[in-house]
Amino acid sequence: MPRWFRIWEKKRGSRRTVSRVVATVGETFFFSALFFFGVIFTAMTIASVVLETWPMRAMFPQVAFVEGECTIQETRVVQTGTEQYPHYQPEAMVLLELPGRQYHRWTLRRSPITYSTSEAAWKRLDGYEPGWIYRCWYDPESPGQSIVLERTPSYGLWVIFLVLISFIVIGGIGLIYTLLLMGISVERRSALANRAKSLELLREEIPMEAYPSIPNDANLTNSPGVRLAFRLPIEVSPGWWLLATLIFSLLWSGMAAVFFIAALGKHLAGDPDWMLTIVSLPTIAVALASIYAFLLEVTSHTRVGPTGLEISSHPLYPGKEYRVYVTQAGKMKIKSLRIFLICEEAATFLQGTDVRSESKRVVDQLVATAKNVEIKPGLPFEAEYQLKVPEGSMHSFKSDHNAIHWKLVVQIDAEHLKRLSRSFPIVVYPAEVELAR
Amino acid sequence: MTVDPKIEITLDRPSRVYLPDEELIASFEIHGIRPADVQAIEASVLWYTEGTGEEDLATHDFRRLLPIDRDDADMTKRRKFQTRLPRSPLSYQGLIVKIRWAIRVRVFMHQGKETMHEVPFRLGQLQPVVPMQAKRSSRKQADDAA
Repeated sequence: MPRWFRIWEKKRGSRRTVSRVVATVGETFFFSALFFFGVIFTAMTIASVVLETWPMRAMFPQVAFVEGECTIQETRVVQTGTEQYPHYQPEAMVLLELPGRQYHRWTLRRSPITYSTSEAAWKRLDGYEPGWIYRCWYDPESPGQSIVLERTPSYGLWVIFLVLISFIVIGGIGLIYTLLLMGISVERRSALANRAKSLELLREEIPMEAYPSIPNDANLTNSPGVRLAFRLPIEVSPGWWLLATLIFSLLWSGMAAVFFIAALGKHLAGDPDWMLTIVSLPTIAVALASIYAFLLEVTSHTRVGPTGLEISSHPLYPGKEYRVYVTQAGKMKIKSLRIFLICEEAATFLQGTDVRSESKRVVDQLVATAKNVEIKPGLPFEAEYQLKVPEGSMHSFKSDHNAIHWKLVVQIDAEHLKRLSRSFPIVVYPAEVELAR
Repeated sequence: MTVDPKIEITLDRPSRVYLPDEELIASFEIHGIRPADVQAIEASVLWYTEGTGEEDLATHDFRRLLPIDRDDADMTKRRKFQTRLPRSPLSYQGLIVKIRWAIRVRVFMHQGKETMHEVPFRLGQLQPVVPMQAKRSSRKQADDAA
């Protein structure tokens, strides 16, 4: 039955409606525009700075300032701000003598600087003595309004240059890349990438793959086991999750404390702010919940000790049997400890500007169960089980946006503790019977 | 008005099923255009993904033929090529990830037009994945029947 043509939704493969010609023209136009915008405006900015004309003259008048000599006649500190919150601005009366005219001005630097105390403002004027001659800078077109004793760096000008140069670099690289790939098929691009990989220089670093697109298992087999061949590494260290819970709990509790103190202060002053109080209540509730979650994590990790998993051989092959050896330390009564063999498909895709990912479990096999076990400090739970990778299963796979992951998951259900799962990635190769030789 | 060329790709096995490390022999022929219209031909043995994720593609074997490559210069004639298939990735029909293998031939013509045709084949003999719920219910039915 024919399907509706999807206008707005995501379309892939043969359902794609994208035109490669339009896409290439669009990319070329975009990068060209970026490149030429950068070149034109960089040239304009440089010319404007060198010739001291608009717009740089208006935006950064100091680029046109010239150096001169001024005599300080007097220094002072001016009080600005409000009565309640005063600020103190140091200034000096300078005299600039130019041929034919004298200019007087209260000044220090172009952007006025203020201090919260009068002492600090006076301290800023240390080194400026009335009657002495100092270097100063001024705009030759309006010296009376522009004299300064201190030049401030024009950071804004450098930011403008950096932005414009980044436009040139991004636009230029994008344009060259688009022009190079114009008229090149996706297969040829892939072949070029393959050839680049097999270059002599690179080959020394990257060994040729006997099983392309299967993740390397070097990191899984570099730790020998005590009882079996390899000790498998854990997928995500529990310490990281604990640290994340701690950081969230601290940050949120700090914010909640500020809200609470502010709201309490208003109540104690007899001027309750009900909106602040209403906002504070859920914030405090989340803070308490996060502290509880953190304490629960700490309890779980201190009572549920480290989990170790060893395997008799690696990589694994579908249809073959392996031995796994599990150790669980800690101090607790375990209701059940289960080991699962899991295979998940994972895909990442763009939705608008967001990168999204989705995963689907295709194998979820219970390998072993241990029930009602009491673990005491120094006496960890130890057991060896048999594991069989289902026949006809897909091997591990990894490409840029798609993957098939295999892992062993140890699930611990202990008394008075929340259920914990610890994952140990493994790599499954294609079944040997699939190979012709 | 120019006519689109017709690309005919033939594999040495009618079943189109190959095992890893096996030799694959394929041939292709172009019909419906004059040999002089052909600027280049690209033939590739590749895999690509389908499903929820963005499409990934990788070529295992890639050949680009230009008229100057051969004395006869008639690139529409039947051409044959062979390649040893890799050990992975195997063809796979999962729930959100699918891996397809294919022979793809792309013809570039002087007018700037290009035509592509591909013939899929299977690497390995993996069965399509059954969703876990369906797997559980079929297992339960088998248990009940037993």
